Amino acid sequence: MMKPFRTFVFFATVMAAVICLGAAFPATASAQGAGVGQRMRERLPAVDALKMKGLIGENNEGYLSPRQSLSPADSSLLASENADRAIVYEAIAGKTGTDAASVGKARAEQIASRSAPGVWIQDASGRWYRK
Amino acid sequence: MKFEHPRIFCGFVGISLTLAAVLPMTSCVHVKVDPVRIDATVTIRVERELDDFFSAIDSGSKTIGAPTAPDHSESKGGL
Repeated sequence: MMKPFRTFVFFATVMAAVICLGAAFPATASAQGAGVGQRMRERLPAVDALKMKGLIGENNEGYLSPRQSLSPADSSLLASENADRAIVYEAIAGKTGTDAASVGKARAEQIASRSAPGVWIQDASGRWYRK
Repeated sequence: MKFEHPRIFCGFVGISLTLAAVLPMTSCVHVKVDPVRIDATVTIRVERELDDFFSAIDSGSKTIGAPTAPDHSESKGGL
């Protein structure tokens, strides 16, 4: 007599576990995203300075590219920024059902349209120009 | 208060079977979707997600301006 009820309790427990896991994964992704955002904000003044000096530019894939030879510290900064951008693009791709490269290109278009004068930008055809 | 567990279980199974039979039919009603519309929807979602994440960061930037489109004011630079 108790067997169907036990089956029901088991099924309900499994469903509850699935719901809890489903709630936990977005929270984990959100925490990771918040860490990336914080790092990017802390890095922003240095990245801006390099862009305003014309040492780096925004390429057509949503990443920073060197426009002149960089010091090791500046190269490291650029690599760190690009690594964090890749994390963001990957996360957005996962949320929207597309791929990270497409997200990067969409971001590149945003940057190109919103960048301040003097910043190096690479257009869709690959040509570099200063805004 | 007395629970009749087998009845609850049978009711649950009945509802599950009914849903299992009906849901596939409803999902087959709309079988053709214009791919251009899907692309546009995905593009809009991507741009919205990008704005959600980057608007807080870009607002502190000297080299990237704020979006001209209606912004998503809940942005905190998190995913």
